[in-house]
Amino acid sequence: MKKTGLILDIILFMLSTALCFGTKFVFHACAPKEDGGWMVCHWAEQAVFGLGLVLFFLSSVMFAFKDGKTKSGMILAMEAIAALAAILPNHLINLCMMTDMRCHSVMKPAVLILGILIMIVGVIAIIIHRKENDV
Amino acid sequence: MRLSKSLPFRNLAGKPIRTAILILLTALLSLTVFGGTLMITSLKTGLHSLEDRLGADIMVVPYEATTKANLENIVLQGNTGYFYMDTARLEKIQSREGIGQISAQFYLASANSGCCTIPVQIIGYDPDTDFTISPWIKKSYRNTLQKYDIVVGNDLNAFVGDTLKFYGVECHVAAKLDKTGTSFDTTVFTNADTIKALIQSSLDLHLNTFQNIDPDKVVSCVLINADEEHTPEEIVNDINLHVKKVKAIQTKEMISGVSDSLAGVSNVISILIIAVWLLGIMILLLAFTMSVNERKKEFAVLRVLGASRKKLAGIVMQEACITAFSGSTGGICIGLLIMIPFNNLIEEQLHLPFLLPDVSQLIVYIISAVILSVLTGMISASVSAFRISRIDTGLILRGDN
Repeated sequence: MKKTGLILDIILFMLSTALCFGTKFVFHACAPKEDGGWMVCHWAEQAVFGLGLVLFFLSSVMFAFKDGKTKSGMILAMEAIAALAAILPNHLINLCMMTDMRCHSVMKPAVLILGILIMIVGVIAIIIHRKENDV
Repeated sequence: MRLSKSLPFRNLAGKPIRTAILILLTALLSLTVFGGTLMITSLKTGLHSLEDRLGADIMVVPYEATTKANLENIVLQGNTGYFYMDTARLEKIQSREGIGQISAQFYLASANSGCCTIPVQIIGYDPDTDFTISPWIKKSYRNTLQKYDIVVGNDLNAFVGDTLKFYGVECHVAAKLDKTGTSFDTTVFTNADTIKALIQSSLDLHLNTFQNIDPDKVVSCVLINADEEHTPEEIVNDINLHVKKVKAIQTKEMISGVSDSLAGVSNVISILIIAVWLLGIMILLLAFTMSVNERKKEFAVLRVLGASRKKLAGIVMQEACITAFSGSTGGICIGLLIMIPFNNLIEEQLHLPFLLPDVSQLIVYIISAVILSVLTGMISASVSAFRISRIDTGLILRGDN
């Protein structure tokens, strides 16, 4: 059971890292305008990056704790942050005008999928860590 | 008996790596067949949608539009652009024989779309004569468009009630169209009065490349449907011969390039599906045979303990069924996670019309892919199941296998 919990923690760490740095360097929003100014989607990218940093921090720090209940609490916080990150592009912060632009076609789905995956893996991890405690 | 306590399930749980490989294989099979089928269907639906949206037999444009502006890119690829010709030419075309329906359209590209650097194509139509855009708009908006009312394509991030500013003119979003999977998804539609006002505004701001035009005396293109007594070819030839400085094109010819590309992509995907499927079946057949071979003694013990030949074959088949079902479900989930959220990216990369099928059709594809994958898994396992039901228990337990 401990081994399964550790594997899930590692998966959560990898997903959080992907969400955090992927949003900035891989599936980032649209490039700056010709005049150097940013389009509105840039601020959504910045906000997701900020939330990603928190997820990255929580998932890294989690390895320092052994207690299942503490881990469950931290994952619960990650669940809420991941949900917020998933709905942030275009729902909480507007993206660009056309949905065939990079922010819509690449950043939004990638953030949504990673957010959902973090939530799913998080729920499984909470169940496993609670069972660890029962044992 | 609960599935988790059944013998086939415990057998699978006892060998996690072998089970994971089998599940991965079936996941790959179902991902290929589901993703590939969805891709081909979406491309075909997109092409039909494009044919419907063009909606006319013939398109007549100023001759310069076919040389200077890339007409096909504007109409088919969603590139922005505009061109104009005198209304006198429209009158000349109207006077030709064989014309069933005729309507003019007006093109304009926005300098920007409010927030972004990407310009938007604006198409104006004449509501009195239009036969291509109006029937489609009526599905989303039943009222008549007033001056400065616009209808936006599905891929534009604007909603009913929003206000968009083009060349300093505020336009009210009256409706949002259904997705078509074509370049029309990023287009703004409006009536002739509004687009004439926008063209005038672009001229006043010196943002229009055509400086000496009167918006009331120009049109961008003329769409024609042939009457019952004439073929589109006859009308195209007649217009090209008798009306100067215009070019008549059959819309069928315009989309032939798209159809050819689509056929090419579909063929490649079909070949890929067949290749992966055949390879998958062979690997599964091999995997089940190897798995059963190394477990011959285990099955022989079960036989000695009283399990019938049918029971042994049943265990192998149930194991195959569980792995195939889990794998295919996983493969389909991955397929959905790629195809649905990233459909805009796929469309952009392929440069072809791409329209995902509706939910009911999608459910049919999901169920079919699961059934096909489970059947493939079970067919691959059936050979091993047959062999294991025929084992000579004595020989195997003595070690003479």
